[in-house]
Amino acid sequence: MNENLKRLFIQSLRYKWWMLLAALLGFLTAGSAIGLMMTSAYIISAAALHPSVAELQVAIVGVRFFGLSRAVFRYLERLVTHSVTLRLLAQFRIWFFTALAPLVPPQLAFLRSGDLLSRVTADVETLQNFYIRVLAPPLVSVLVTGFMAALYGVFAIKLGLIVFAFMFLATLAVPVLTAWMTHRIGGRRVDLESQIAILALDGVQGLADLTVFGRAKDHFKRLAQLHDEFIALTKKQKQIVALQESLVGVLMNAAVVAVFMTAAPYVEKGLVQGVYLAVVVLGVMAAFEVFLPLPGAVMHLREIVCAAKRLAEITDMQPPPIRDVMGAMMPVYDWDGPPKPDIGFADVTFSYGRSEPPLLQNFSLIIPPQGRVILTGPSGSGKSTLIKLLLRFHEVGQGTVYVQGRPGMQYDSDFMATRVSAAPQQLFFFSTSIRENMLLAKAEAAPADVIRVCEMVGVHETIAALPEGYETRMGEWGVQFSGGELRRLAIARALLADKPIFIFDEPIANLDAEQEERIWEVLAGLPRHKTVLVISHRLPKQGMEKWQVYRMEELQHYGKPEDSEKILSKKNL
Amino acid sequence: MQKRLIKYLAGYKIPVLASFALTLMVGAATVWQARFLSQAIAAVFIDQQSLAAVKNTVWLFFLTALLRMGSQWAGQSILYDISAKVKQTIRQQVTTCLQKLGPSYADQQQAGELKNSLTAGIERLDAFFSDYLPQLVTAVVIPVLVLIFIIPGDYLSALVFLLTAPLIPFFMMLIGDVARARTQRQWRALGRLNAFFSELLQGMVTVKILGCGEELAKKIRQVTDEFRTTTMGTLRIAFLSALVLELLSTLSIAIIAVQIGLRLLYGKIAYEQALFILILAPEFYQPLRRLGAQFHAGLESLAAARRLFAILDEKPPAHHGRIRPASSQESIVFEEVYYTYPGREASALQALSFRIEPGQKTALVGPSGAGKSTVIALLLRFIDPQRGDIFIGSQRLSGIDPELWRSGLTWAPQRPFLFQSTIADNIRLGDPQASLERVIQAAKQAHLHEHIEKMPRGYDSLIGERGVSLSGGQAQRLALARAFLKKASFIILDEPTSALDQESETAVARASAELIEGKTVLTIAHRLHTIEQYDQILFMEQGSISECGTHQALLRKQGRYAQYIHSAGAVV
Repeated sequence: MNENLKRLFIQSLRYKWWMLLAALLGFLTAGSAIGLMMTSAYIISAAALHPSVAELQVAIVGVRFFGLSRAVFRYLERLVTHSVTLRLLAQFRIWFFTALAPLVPPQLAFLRSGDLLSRVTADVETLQNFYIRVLAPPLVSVLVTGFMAALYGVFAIKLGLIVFAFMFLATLAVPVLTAWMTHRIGGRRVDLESQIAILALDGVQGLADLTVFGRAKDHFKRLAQLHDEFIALTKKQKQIVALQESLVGVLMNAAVVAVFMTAAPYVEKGLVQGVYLAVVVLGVMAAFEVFLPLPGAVMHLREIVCAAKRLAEITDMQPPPIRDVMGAMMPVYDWDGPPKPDIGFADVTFSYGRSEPPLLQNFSLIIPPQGRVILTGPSGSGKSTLIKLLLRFHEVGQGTVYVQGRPGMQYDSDFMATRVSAAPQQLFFFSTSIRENMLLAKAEAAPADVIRVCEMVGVHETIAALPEGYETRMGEWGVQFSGGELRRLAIARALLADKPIFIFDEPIANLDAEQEERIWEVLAGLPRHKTVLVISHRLPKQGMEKWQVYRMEELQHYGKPEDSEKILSKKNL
Repeated sequence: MQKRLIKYLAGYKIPVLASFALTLMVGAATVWQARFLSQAIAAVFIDQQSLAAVKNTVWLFFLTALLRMGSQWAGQSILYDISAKVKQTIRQQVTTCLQKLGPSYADQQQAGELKNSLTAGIERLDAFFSDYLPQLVTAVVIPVLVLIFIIPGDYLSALVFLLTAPLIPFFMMLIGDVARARTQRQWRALGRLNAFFSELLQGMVTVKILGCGEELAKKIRQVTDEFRTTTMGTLRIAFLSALVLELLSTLSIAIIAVQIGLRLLYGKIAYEQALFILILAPEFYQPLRRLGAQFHAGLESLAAARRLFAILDEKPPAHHGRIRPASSQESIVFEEVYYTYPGREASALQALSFRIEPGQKTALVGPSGAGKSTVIALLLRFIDPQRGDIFIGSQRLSGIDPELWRSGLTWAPQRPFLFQSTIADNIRLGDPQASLERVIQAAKQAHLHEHIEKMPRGYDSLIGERGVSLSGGQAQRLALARAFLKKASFIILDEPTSALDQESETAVARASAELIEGKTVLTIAHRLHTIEQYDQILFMEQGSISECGTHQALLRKQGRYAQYIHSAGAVV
């Protein structure tokens, strides 16, 4: 069995009892329909022989019972089946998200594309059909085939075998034929679907660029071409499935003919009572309804396998390993004592790629507990990279990064996030309300806390002036706010998170002079026991005495590790 | 809603009629099959005939079956064909409309939701055209046909059929209204759920920095549970209609069976006729039952159509003029322009007036939120002034054909959108016909060539999925490369607010200087060296221009601008 399919199956097993219940209800529904037709046929056949009414009583009750039970079982079956489907959807969504969570941003970088949207919404949604469309139809078909073969075997072994043969064909041969006929279409259709998703999203998100360069028409024309092909293939696929459904109908009629031809001589010879002739013929007619969804199941199975394969490409990635780096201890701290808030880079060398020149070379910086440090230096000197290293988004090539006196490699990125409150340059806000965006930093924060941090950075008044205040939704990409407002919201969010270590990357970009001074004051005024690192081009105009300023160049020591040792000992107070 | 969808069928009268004729054929074949089968069974059971005597009848039964299955398939195939064509038409209308509505509309919408309407939303229309609507026809045709054949032989059974059949659509409508409202709610919930997921992944880095992964996992569970609750609520009612329909049909079959059974008992009806009616009874109700099943899918289809029609009904913001712009060398004049974004109270622009002469280089400077981007959006014709006018020479901008107007200008935004295509194609946005040589030339002019050369597949490297990503500075240079390729006489630049890496900073500065040489330029400027070289500085505050002049003159004036430059300074 396909590896991804197996995984899907294992995930679904969590709801195996629900699924069995649904299948059983499906079988009972089909059974009731068959029972209804067979007892009805029995009543009129028996009545034709003019017995007393009493002899028909049991059959009459049976007809009424099956008439009721079919509808009720069907209703229950549909409810349970759909509930299973939605449970599976939740299961697959959370499975996907938890598989994604330990990965670090460089691994996720390529996912920030339109294809991901199509993957997660469409692919995970496709998986939800695993039971209802793929597992349920064959399960019910097999149950009905077994039941009918056994039942007809009671009349005559040959009848049982005939019924089994035709139902076996419908259960297996027709789906295989469908799979073969649609083999080519399926693959191409899936390709087209993801290409169309990319083009549609690019068209929506890049509409400004397309419009200005007069290319919107061409872009949507290309979308139209692929979409036309997609529609044509969808049509063809549906027509093939319809053909297979008609084939099931032909099989049913062939089975009726075969059963009649076999049973008639038995009746003639008196081996089977004549009353049962109509019963067995009408029973076969009623039973074949369960085979109709089988050709469609093949299509769904194919879609699901494709979706699962694509999702597996993501979930199979491994997060960076947690390593126990015993050798690299910082001398200053007592390891058995309580962890102390600080940041340390000891002799760190780092580059983004093997071929790229190192961005940091023998870089050392120790920020003691309660330190207030501004790090300045030219663009591209690796300042922003420091945050990513602290949060363990990247592996350092050489040297050790310390957080709270412990080597960062001993922890994963999630643990690091519990120590560090960061406001990076890249801002992202969800299109939920302002309040909900703030609460991401600290779920249990009180409304007053949210207002307090927004007041601190000076965006409270702007927000309060909005008609819906803090409940105002932020547009996708945060388009409703200016760059400066968004930046201050990011600072407020970091303040709300309130972890032992604060890091701000260019917090004053896009701000006017007044706002800038205000932010400096806020940052300098953070509680004494917090460690604060600010990365900035510009320095505060007032209150410089509160800060310790380093320039990037001072901290890098190209090829002279002994210097960094000196720095380590010098800077460690 | 339904009527509006049905109107799309107007062009397909012959195929629609053909599929209707095939439905009639299916109905007739169904009746004849029942006739042959009841004859054969009655002959063997009642008249004690041998198999050989009824063989012909049995083969006739099978041939009719083949006819019925063939017609059924042909009819369905025609319907899929029609549905495919209608989907194409609607796709065409919606994409055309989206282009007319432009970026200002697209930016207000959630990209994921809009994309969904364009893809899954259109697919969902299939359910209406090839399943729900035809089933509606079948549900009338087959029962009527069956009745026609039953009435002459057996009034009583026909009466049972006649009495029960109308109950089915009655109950369907009764429950349908509730279900309809619920289905729409569910569709909206699905849209929100999808948007939530796509955003979650776009913001994954932020999620990791804030360490709120667990919170969000809980939120996923909560949102999906909510979705399940609403959906199950919808389904419980939607399925209830199916339950009533099934109950009606199965109980009716039971009544028919008992009723003809009892009449048989007293010899009031022939066995063959009784069997004929019994075989037809499920066929009579089946189309009605199926309609109940399709009803739900039909509602989903309608909800999808509602979203598509909402896009079609949106009024394009710009009344699209037809005039060709006169010579490209014209002055650009803003006269008392006002603009307020929908949903915001404060106006973005207030009585904004300024003038740009041909060949002049103008910089827009000012604090964030001053309305600089709004000026650009107006000039790009994404939005139109709510009051006041913009003149190009003597012509109103609103009267000029927007496409022709845009063809004469070029724009390098702060964050250019990178399409999931090759680097070369992304640069070619400036000129789709450009040869690779010209693309490379433009990349060289934008100082991006060396960086592209270093990529594993050079100009064929894919941006996006499993491909390369560009840094802010590199993206900015790609925008400049597009601008170089386009060769327009009016250039709109939006300098990045934040600092770029050193290499990009100098590269962008040099490339921009080269690009704007001899052109009319409007730049949202954040860099001192830009401002110093420009002919005119428009200092914007709160939606209007508070000072205007050259950099030097304004500094000498010691006014608001001087104060701003002194305090905020420019990035570099």
